[in-house]
Amino acid sequence: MARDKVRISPIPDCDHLMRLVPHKQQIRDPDTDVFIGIVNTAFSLRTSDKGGLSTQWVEYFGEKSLPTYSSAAERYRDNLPSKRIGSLAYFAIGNVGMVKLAASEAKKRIRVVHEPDGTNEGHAVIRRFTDDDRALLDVLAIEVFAEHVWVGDLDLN
Amino acid sequence: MSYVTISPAYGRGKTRLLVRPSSGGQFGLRVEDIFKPTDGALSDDREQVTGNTLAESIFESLANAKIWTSKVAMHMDMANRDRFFRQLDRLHDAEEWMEGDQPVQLETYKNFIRFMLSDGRDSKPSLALSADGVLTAIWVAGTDRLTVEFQRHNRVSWVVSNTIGPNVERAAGITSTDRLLTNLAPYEPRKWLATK
Repeated sequence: MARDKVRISPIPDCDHLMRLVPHKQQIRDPDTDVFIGIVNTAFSLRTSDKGGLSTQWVEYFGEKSLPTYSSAAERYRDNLPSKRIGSLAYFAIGNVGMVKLAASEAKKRIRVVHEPDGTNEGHAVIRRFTDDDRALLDVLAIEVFAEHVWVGDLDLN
Repeated sequence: MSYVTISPAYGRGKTRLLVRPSSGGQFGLRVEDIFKPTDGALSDDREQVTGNTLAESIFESLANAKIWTSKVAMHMDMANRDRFFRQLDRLHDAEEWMEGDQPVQLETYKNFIRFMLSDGRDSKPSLALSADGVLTAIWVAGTDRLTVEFQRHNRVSWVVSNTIGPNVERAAGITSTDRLLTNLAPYEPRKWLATK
């Protein structure tokens, strides 16, 4: 059976990406479990990362804002087999141009493309991305995807 | 005899497992057993859990980690042991579980504990778990961060991020667990490892 052709197009450098960071890939206070930040392994490729690092294209859903993050998160969640996201999960948000700059400094020539996935029309993929360079993952976790939004602060239906 | 409490990732309630006393070499592990290299080991944690349901795999992995910890508890501060257990429980919370993820691999947990019993004894790291069950420890001192993935076969993958004035100095490497502190020497590791 032939697969439907997926429309793939590059995403502008000024736009932003969101990546889900589950609870166990967050840095949390060892005693209180208070959120501190994101572990670099949150940018390791998962089995669900098909052909590249899977993210949401923020501006596909509107102007960069909390309501837009909510729409992007909702579409992401609804495309998951379980259709649920943990209540302690965060989304990390980063600029496309900064992702490319960090990758090029690590001698990687990545592409950031819009690639709808099932019902998730705002899905974006960082292509030619490999997770072998831990220093690059660290840059992504600390400096590039530096904006963190807790799912509890999003308006998810 | 003593008990280890296991909070199952799925289902309700808690299970208490009876374990033998960990106060002597007869039942617990001796220091040389704890630090025994695992290179070439025939067992494979991931193979051991194959065939089980996810809930069983998570429960079994947590139980194995806690039971093994109880065997080396005589070398460990009780507060540290309890904190590690709480951290492990949080990392295996069913409500937060992602499809396709694996529970902690016992060998990576053992590797972490070996380090904590030697060079990391006085520190209090955050813990994280990769999708394939590799344990990562993170030490944060101000804006400076040390991240160590404790892999199987006594290997570690580390990343240092130090803020020097307006710049961030970053270094990464792969080494054996017993060489980690030597690898980190140029980056003043005591700021992470010497304080609780």
